[in-house]
Amino acid sequence: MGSAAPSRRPLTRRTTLSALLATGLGAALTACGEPSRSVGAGGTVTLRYFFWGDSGRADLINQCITAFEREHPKIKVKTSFAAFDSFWPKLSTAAAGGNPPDVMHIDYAWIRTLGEHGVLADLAAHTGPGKEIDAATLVPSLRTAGLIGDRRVGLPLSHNSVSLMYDAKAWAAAGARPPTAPMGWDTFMEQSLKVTRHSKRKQFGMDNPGQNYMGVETWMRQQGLQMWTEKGGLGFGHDDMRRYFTQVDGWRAEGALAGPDVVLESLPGYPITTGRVASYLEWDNQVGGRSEMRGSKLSLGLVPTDTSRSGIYAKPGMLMSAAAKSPYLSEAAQFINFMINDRQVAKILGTNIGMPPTTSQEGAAAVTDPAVRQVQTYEKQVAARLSPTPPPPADGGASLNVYLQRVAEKLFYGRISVDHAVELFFDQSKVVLA
Amino acid sequence: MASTTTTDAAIPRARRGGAPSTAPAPKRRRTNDRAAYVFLTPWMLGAAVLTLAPMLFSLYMSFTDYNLFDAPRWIGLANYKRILFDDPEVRDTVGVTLLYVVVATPLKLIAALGVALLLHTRRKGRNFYRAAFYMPSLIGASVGAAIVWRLLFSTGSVVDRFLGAFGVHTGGWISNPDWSLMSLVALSIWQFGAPMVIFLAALQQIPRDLYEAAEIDGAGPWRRFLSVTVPMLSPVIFFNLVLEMVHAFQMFNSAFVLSNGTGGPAGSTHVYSMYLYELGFNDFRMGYAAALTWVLLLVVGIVTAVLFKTSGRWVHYAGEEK
Repeated sequence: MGSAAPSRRPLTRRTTLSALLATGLGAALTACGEPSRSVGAGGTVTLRYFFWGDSGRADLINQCITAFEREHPKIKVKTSFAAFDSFWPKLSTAAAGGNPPDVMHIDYAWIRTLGEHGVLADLAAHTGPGKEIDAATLVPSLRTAGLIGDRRVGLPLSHNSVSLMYDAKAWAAAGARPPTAPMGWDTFMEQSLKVTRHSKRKQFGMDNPGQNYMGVETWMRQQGLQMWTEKGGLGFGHDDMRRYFTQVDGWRAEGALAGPDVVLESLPGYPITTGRVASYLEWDNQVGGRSEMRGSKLSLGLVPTDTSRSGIYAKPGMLMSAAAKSPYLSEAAQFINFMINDRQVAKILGTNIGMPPTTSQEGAAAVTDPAVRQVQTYEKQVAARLSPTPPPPADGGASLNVYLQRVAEKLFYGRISVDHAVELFFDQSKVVLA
Repeated sequence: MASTTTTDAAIPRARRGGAPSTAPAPKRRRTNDRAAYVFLTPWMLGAAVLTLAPMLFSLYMSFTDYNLFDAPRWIGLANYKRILFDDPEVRDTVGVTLLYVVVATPLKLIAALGVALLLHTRRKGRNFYRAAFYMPSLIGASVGAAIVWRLLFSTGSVVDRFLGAFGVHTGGWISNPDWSLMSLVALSIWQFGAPMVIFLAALQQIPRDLYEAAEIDGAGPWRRFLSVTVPMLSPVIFFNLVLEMVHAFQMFNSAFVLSNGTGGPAGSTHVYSMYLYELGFNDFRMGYAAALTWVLLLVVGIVTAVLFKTSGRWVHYAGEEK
């Protein structure tokens, strides 16, 4: 105890503490710096790759990566994935913290939000003849997907189209005419009502398309309108929304469409998979997965329309982007090119994420898988009726869908009038859209 | 060694008394203060870096338009103006949140006090019951419990069938906008463990002679509860009330899980904190979300202040003359 003078002790502690502090701060400062290019033993580079999906999709993607690494021994790809809903908070937090993955999947709804704010790299310098990415092979409907102005912030990895997924057996049992040929909405709802009545309301003919942007967008496009304008605003007005809400709420009231409680009670599944509805609007590439969850085969029918327009289009299902901050842009571009152009990838993925995006991958997938064949047949059937791919959703568009659901629920529970619902929807769009 | 012990003892004595100290050498005390500050440094550093700095930054953000990726842009009071006048969802979520606070807080406290009174009596297995009743509070805030709650309150579930047996047909509470908030209230009541433990401790502090005196004066159990237990417990009731009210204002987890993140049905469980989460982490409108947070802090602060102001009328501190 007597070794050190009492008055010296605090000083010693203070010195130690400052030393500790300095080290800590130093470490923190280094962590804040720009990521530097670190190359491993033998000149290998490791790309971090983040995507959304389930473990089934992760298996397929890992097979693609094995094939890629075989051809590019100097590049390693490390993956991580998350469910769609938790993917965005994770990605945005990583991006805001200055530590985004090198390569990532981006949904069409987010391309503007992330692309316009410097998160995604402009790959234009890596695209073209003699460069890492060959984009000339993209199918015509996808040529502009991933472009914001003249900046290429993403490359489409697939495309898919909206379909009317339905259980043919349930429709036949009710004596309803299946949507194999184009039909008007009213005619279709008469058929749908037959299914509801046949099952004594245990299974409704169709899930309400008005609860989701997919239904709203398809109908607006059938009227010759757009969901989003080039400038990032809504492409329709109060009157259009009023007409649509009035229509679907009427069909719900008579029983052709399921009520909002059906959706809620099916969570975390879907009314189609819990057997509470016999049809609904869905991306065609989901048909295999949904049939499996439902336990009976679903067919891909044509979406009803009252005009000469089908309303459906080839939607870029998923885009691949590189982070603007990544020090490995060239390697990332090579990997992206492999994913969109290599035939092995198309063979492995099938239609898990949709139809292949390029002519170089077309026809590579085995048609032995019945779900793949179903999607291919449907895409061929609607190919002539597809309209041009619309501009990407506005900055904040993904969130507006959440509010659309909430407003629609209030309407379908009968808690607010159609006029009030329309008012709320447009008021909220002012808050959410940047 | 000897010198340190004397100073250590001198400081608390001087502080406790609050009287101007005459004896201890100021120099030695300063040395000791310094030692105290050195030991406190990690904590103070933590508070400054992890609490104070983010708070100040969020206050700054609330005056900006900030989307996480671009630099914040100063917009003055625009966020606050929008919250107060232009956002229909704020109005709705405030309504839902207030309803929840007003219903859930007192019910939870009543449940906690009721069970604490039962457990206060001497009987066999008392400790087992105390642990058993506290258990839900340990797991209560977890996602797992909220999922079980979903199953309990959906259509055709245990609760639905039980009520149905008595002729009460509400359907599933989860999918009924009139009842969904009540399932959240029920979940909150179920987690009464923390206030219960505090009530139990306070009950044991009430002097027995007060009850004896009341009994001699002819007071029955109900009278004794109202005239002895409640006034003697009032400081603790007040403490629990403030704490639980603040918690209720911040409720997020259970609403998020029970509604699958939608705040549904029909926005009936869309509480304020969920809305600010959506704006911040789904819409990347961090500036606006920060402003919403500060409004919440302000409102909770005002309500707490009002409670403190009125507490003088009903909170009785032992030894206090009125």
